[in-house]
Amino acid sequence: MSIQALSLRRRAAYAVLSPLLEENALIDALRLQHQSMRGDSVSDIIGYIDQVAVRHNIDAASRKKLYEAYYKALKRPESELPMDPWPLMQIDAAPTPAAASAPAPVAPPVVSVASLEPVAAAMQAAAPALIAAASPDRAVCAELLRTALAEVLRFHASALSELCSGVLEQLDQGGLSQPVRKQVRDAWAQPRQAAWVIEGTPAELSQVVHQFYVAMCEALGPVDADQVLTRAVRAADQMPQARQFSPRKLI
Amino acid sequence: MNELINLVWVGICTALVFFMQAGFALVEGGLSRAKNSINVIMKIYLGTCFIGVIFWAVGYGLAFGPSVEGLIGGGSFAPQKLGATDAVGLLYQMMFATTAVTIVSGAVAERMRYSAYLAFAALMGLVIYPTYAHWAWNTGGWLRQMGFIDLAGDGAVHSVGAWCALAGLLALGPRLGRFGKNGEVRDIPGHNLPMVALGGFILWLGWFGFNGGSISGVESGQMGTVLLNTYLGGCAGGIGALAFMRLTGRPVLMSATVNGSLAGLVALTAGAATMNPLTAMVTGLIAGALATWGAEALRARRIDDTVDAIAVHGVGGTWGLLAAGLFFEGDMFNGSRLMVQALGAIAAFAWAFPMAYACFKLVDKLIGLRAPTLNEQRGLDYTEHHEIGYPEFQDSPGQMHKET
Repeated sequence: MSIQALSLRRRAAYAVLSPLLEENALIDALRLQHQSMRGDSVSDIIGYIDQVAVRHNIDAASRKKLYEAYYKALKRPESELPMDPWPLMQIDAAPTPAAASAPAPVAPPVVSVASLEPVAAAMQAAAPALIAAASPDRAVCAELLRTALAEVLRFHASALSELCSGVLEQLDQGGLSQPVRKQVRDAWAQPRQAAWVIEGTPAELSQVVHQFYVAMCEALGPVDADQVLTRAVRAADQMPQARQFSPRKLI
Repeated sequence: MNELINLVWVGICTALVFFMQAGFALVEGGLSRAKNSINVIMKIYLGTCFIGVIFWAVGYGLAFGPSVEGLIGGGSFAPQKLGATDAVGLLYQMMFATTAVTIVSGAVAERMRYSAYLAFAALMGLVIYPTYAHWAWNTGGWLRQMGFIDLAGDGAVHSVGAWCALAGLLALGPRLGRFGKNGEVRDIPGHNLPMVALGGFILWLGWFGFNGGSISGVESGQMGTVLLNTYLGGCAGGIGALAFMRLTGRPVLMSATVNGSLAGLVALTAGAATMNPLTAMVTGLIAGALATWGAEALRARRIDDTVDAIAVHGVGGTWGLLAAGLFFEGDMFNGSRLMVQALGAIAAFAWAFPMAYACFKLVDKLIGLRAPTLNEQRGLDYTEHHEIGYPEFQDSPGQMHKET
């Protein structure tokens, strides 16, 4: 989805909902659209309007009118639509990883955790504080592992158990210390909830990443494993901590 | 005058066969992933250097020196004073030895230690290749004396190279993640198919030297037939691969088409001088189809041949040896000749495979055969050579050093 299309969708929603909703409710509805609406088809429109109606007690008659109004608004020329409400949506919003869809310059093809919603977003929400508090090498490693795992969960979910068993099989073969092995084992017990901040030396973190890569090769195949790892490194490279510790040192 | 013309012709053919190393480098480099492409090409490059020295010092004497009971040569080691014809002849044979060894490099690509490959290449150039070459080509060689037909090394170069490669693959194992736990085959596409196509054309060109230089002399009248048959073999091989893929409902792959034409050329290496154009085409056609089938059959048995060298040189080569007996112009389908050819094909496997396997195991014990999985992750270009092929698109070592 292009940035422009997302902007038009917001502007159309703003146009049709602003006469009905107060400001807070309107912002909530716009955020809901940003998070949940995935296309401009009739079913997408109906689904979105239904959600807004339920959340903000819009009656059935108005709801039916909104279906048509929103559909028509999406077809209107840009010049007839209000300004993009994106800046309004940013006010009071907690810092979220939504920059990928913000009207900012298009980033290079990097798959960040944020772009792998909803699984990745849930993972992101689980542990930012832990990552922020970690040393740069551990924070970067955590981001790399979480991004890679998020991509696996999104595109290769059926391979998760094989991936997990593949990592655990290697765990005792490498030169990892006992505490690091325990942390990795604990993380793999609940991979979605884990923060993936591993308290190890850079060499140990590199070994953890390598074991993850080998398991990905076996579970997904080497081509997918290479692609996932490359994208995860690029995502981790976007972190401020990457200026102090490059994720390339982990591979 | 004829001698001078022959000398020039063999010199040209030597250059053509040498140029085949560039073809191999392009095919094998292109069929490897970008992170391993330099490694594959370096193996070919330094393998060429090693084999040149080894073959001059020892290999030539073992292959073409005075025969000891038809089994091995026992003289002409490290020759110093050679006439022009002998010197060019040695050089020409050196190119064949190099080609045989290079066949192995592509098959084992992307997971074998560089030093281990060079050690094996030296052993192969020292013992495995010259011994079979002696049997097949030395006037006192036992196969040659039985009437074995192998014009330009279908058995000595291609079959021996392929069976050595098979031994290497069994000793090494597949690349990381090549086969799934349930037996599924994961594709690992090469990083540059245009390179593969260019390499295919260069190899095809080189084959004119491969077969053309192996005739008994320009005056023999064989040259035209050999060159024509060689070319037709390559054409028919590509068509055979195409037919196999189309008739079995598979997608028509460029890499398989190139390999099909190479298999056709391999198959003509034995009998290009003793076939007519029609039987040459039939030979190439069947070789192309067989190689395409063989590549899949090997993968189904979890044998991970990066460039399908065994299918092209082993399957195509074995068929070519048999075809040379079947389609001998003027005496087709002669059973006894076919038996001799079959014996030569079996001897190639029975000699090369166990010897190569033993050599690989020896090298494994001494210096380690398989690159660590961390090197597979990082790519052998960086870990073995500290150079990468595509710094604009890969994380370069220089970048890493700067950051540290």
